[in-house]
Amino acid sequence: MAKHQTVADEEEAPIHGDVLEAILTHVPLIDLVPASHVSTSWKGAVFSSLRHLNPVKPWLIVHAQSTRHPYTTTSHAYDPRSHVWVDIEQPSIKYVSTLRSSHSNLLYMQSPFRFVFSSDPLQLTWHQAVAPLVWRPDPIVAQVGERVVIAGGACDFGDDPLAVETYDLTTRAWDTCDDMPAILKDSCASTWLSVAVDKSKMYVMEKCSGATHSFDPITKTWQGPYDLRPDQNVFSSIIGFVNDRMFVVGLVGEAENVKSVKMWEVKGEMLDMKTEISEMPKELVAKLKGQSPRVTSIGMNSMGNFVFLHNPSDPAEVIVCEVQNGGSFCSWGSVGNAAVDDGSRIVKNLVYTCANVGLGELHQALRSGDRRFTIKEEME
Amino acid sequence: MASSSTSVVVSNKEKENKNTKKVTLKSSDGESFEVDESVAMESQTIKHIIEDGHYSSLALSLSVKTTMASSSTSVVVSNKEKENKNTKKVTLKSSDGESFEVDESVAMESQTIKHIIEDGCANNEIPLPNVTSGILSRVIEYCKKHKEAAGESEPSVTSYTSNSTTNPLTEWDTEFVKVDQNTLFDLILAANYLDIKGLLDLTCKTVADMMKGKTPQEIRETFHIKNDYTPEEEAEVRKENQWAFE
Repeated sequence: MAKHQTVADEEEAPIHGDVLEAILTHVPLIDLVPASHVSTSWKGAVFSSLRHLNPVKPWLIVHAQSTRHPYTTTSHAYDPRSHVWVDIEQPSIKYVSTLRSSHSNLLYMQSPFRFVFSSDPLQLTWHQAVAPLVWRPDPIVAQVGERVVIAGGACDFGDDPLAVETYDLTTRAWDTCDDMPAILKDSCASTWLSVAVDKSKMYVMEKCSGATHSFDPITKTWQGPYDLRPDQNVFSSIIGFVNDRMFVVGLVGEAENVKSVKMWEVKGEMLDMKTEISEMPKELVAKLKGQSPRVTSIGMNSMGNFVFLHNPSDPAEVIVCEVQNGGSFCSWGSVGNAAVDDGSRIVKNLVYTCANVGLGELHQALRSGDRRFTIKEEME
Repeated sequence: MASSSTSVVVSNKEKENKNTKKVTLKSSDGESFEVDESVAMESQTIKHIIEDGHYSSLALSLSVKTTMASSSTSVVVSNKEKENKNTKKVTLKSSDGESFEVDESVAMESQTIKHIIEDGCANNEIPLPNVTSGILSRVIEYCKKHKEAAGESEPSVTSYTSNSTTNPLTEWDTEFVKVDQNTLFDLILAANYLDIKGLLDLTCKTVADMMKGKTPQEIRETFHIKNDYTPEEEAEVRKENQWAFE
């Protein structure tokens, strides 16, 4: 194939510099990968455009695991920078058990024999570990730094129901720690508890009461309870971090009639200072409720200054909130959930993670050779 | 043309609401025209009459026939009406010497032109050496259309929905950018130079759409970009991204 010959004195390509960078702000991240390979000046323009004009924003990734053999998983990612859904073609996550997620960016599956988990943005690597000592059907799971914590959720017979174990990624070994507070004993983590992590601690909040405990996996000690229920009228609370700040999202009213959804920031050594940051606009509360008659709790994923909320009973709409200027302004919006709209009639287990996906992560994913990203056609 | 003596009754009527004094001019053949006083004062004759305060009761003779009176009046009215509506015009001159007269408000869709006018450097004709007449006429078309629509549409709520249903001109815009590549690039450059955000976003997005789903080589061919990677670098890139670009 003859290579396209450019005439030596052809005029400089009209699209360059500022104009090229402006154009690139409208190009979705996955298409910026080939754009950065076009020429050295285009590479510079891509990086400059991302740095100054339209920066990378965290993706919400929805993993849909089929509930029937062979339990294939499909993944759809929402990119708020370009307002597009991306279908991620990848080898199906090898089935171990029901896929679960915790604190926005940890995916895991556990069986009596194995515990597998992944916390990198695009789930390129899965860590395979042996199961912890105690079998738990529905425990609290979190990754804090280089340690994974598993707590509670154990069966009542025999095994210690309050057992806490930590897995050290570097030594690949389990360790047992202090029993957890009895109050958390009977909770099935995925239903009743909300988990969040910062650089050093795991926080476990009981959704109904807002009572929160923290656990430090290095000192292996628990602290609390802290009363993080933001307001008398909040019947369900969940906890998360926005730009390293602790946020609580609360449902106001009652499950059959959610009046509003609000966000508070929690500060202070004793986690006692709560400031209301923003309230979800009414039309979005209606979208969140969807067709479900009761909303007992909602799911929250957060990364950077983005918060994604969904209603597990009717996840057709995902509510997006961008917290700007340190919380003084929040822009709210909603987007149809691509994992729900795919028209298939197979019941699926939907699991949500949130990730900082930039060009580097995409390059890495593409280099692995078994991943492909395509933009989903616009949904009606 | 009648030259017989005519009578014109000029009466003063005040319209409370609009605070515009009106006068009534009556032509030789008996037809009455009510106009704003300021409009009537375009005629020096009538102006003097009014200023002299003689109009309230005096009949004036004017040898003016209905049609002539009405036509001159209507011309006067229309000019004044335009001034009252504040529709000043500016002339934009393209690089190839063609002049385009547009409403100032339309021209001010361009931040560049807005600053020129506000700085008082306009002198009624603004030269745009970077924009050809073909492109300028399209730009003006865009500005007019969007200026008209601006009054009617509501400010759009930040929406994360994929469909941009909030912009009522979506269809018109889509048609507007169905042009050849060179024209599209020229429109971008013009929108950038003239600083017209809406047009810049629209044209940039159109070009961005042309890059979607393409390999680097396909992008180069579409936009005539020279590949300046060395063969070694190129091989490296291809190896890394083999899967994505096959």
